[in-house]
Amino acid sequence: MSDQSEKGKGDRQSGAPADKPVLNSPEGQQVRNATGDQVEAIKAANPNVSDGSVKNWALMTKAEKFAHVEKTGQDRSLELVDREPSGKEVVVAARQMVADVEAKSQPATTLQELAEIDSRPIKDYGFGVEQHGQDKVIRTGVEYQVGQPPEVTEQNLFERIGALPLEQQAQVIGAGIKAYNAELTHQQFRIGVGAITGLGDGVVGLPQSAESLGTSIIGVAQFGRDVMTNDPAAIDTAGKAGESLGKLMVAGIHVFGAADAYLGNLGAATTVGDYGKGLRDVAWLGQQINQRWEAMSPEEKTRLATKLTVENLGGLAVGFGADRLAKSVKITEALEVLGTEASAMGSGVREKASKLISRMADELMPQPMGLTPDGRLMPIKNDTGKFDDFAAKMVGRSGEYFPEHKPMFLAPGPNKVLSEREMEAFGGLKKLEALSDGELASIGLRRYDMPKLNLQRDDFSIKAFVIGDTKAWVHASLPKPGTVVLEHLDNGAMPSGTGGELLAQALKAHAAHPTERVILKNIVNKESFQAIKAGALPQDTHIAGCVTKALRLLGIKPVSYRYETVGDKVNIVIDTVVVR
Amino acid sequence: MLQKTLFIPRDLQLIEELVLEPTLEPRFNAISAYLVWDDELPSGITPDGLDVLSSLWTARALFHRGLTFSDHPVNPEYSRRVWEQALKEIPSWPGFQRLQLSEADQSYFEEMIGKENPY
Repeated sequence: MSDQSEKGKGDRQSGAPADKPVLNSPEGQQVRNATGDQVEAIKAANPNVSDGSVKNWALMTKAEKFAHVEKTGQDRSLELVDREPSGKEVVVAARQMVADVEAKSQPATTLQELAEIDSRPIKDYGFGVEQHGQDKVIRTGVEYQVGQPPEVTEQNLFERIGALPLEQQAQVIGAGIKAYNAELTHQQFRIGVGAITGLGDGVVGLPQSAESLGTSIIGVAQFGRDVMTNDPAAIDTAGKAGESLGKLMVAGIHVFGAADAYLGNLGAATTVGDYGKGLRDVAWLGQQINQRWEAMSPEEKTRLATKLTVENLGGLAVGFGADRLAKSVKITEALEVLGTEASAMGSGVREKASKLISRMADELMPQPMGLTPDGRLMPIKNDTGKFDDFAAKMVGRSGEYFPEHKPMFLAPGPNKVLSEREMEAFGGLKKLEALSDGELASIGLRRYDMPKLNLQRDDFSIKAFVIGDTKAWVHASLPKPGTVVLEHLDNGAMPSGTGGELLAQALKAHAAHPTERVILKNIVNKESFQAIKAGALPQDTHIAGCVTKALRLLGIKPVSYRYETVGDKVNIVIDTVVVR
Repeated sequence: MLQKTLFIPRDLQLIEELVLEPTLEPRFNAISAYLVWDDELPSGITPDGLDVLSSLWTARALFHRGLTFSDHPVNPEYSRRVWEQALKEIPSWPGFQRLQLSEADQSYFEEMIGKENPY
């Protein structure tokens, strides 16, 4: 009896209530103040050290459960081995866990793709022993739950993690990185996530939700790693990183805050997993984002924050405060706060906030570096070469611009450049280009070069002013990528016939290519109205002719012209395509 | 149909911060045949806000030519309502201080609107 009684007390030899009286002793205080390394050393010195398998699961904290799953590797394959007379070992029975097969044979992306294709809820049994009379039944593996709604959704799981303390969020992020770097099996990650969120490991829908969680986490960490090591893969992983950050943050997950906290305070004082390597990649990325933010002027911060907030949140922009973002010292913290606030809102708000965070991250994340053909190391953006992505990054440019050389020729008399047809009368453009200034003068012509431009921009529009001509200017709004609304245009003192060239150079200088549409706004000038009254087609108006010339110079083809009336304005809308 | 207010608060604030600079010279907009001064166009205004200002510049150009709202070539009533509401919302907009042109500006304006093809 007495033996049984002692055994029943398990590890608690004193029989005292756990923690308090023991920890009040000097020894207890010493243990309490022990560092992680000291605790590990004591454990290692114990000859009767337990492997953890007999520890009462119910007494473990969530963090301990999470670490236990990782440390014990309870999903590993089992093998029964017999030894032949020759001494050779033979496997007579084996069980290979699904997760083991997954980790060895399938990359994470394949699993994610499968999860996207097959949306049936899945239940993961982990590895459990059930007693049926005198028999023990081992139940393991995964099983479709057809007709059974998932008990946990992706959003629900993400929010549960967002509600955890930073230390535990860091554990999940760290484990996610490990799982997708094949240092931990996906099943271990799932079981860990189930444990730390209190969901358990057999919840229907958890495998798919955890898969999505892991993919988002690695999306951030992988980009940080790729940029840090100057891996060309960063060009491809950049887009995923921003998207993943948005998704995680609007669930209240403090991706960077948790990583910083782990590395700064918690990592040294905890024995719960070693996530330093992966979390350092995440923290580094956050630091880079903050450094780029700090390097911006207050005006640039306001412009970027306002632009992205208005574009992505629309009417919600006021509530979420572009000013607050613009005035933040650490933009990662401000975005995490915004994400946490959005997590309490409806799905529509969360989606918009996610896009805002994603766009802001895209703007501020370090750019992958690559070698140019002439051997220089330069930042390479994922969208380099894409013709129509200009407005997704920044509206226009500022500063002086030297227009590309475009041969134009002035005839004597009116201040006007020769049209193409008129140049043909002199033998064509190529012949005129080949003539010297003297030869040109002998036939009454002289060259005309487009002057330098002064470029200005704001949150929604671009401007170009001709330096030395106080009247010549171009002003256009960019409501969305590929669409340019021409608001103001005048040649000033420049020769007649240069309007198309001025417009083309201005759009080119600002990288504002109307690849989908140009709207000529409020064409209430005398000539256009006479043309409309006379039943002229929109393409036959002078302004449409000017813009058509500019489009041609930009390699863009107009495909249709139409008038539209909006309020007190008549506009000409030109739909366009890029000439490849 | 006009909205309750012409400008969102952000645009309203930008416009209210504008200060009249009497020494500025106007630029011409050949597309819409009106004059505009730099101190009338706030940097960072939204496309919607800019659309309203465009209506005001067009209406003002009627006055510069000695015409009235009824001469508006597209929608006289709409133009008049925008103008009247703007007078209430942005009374200090510098553009309202330029309903009459100086001799030089008048000459410039007439020269520009008289061009057959200003492009």
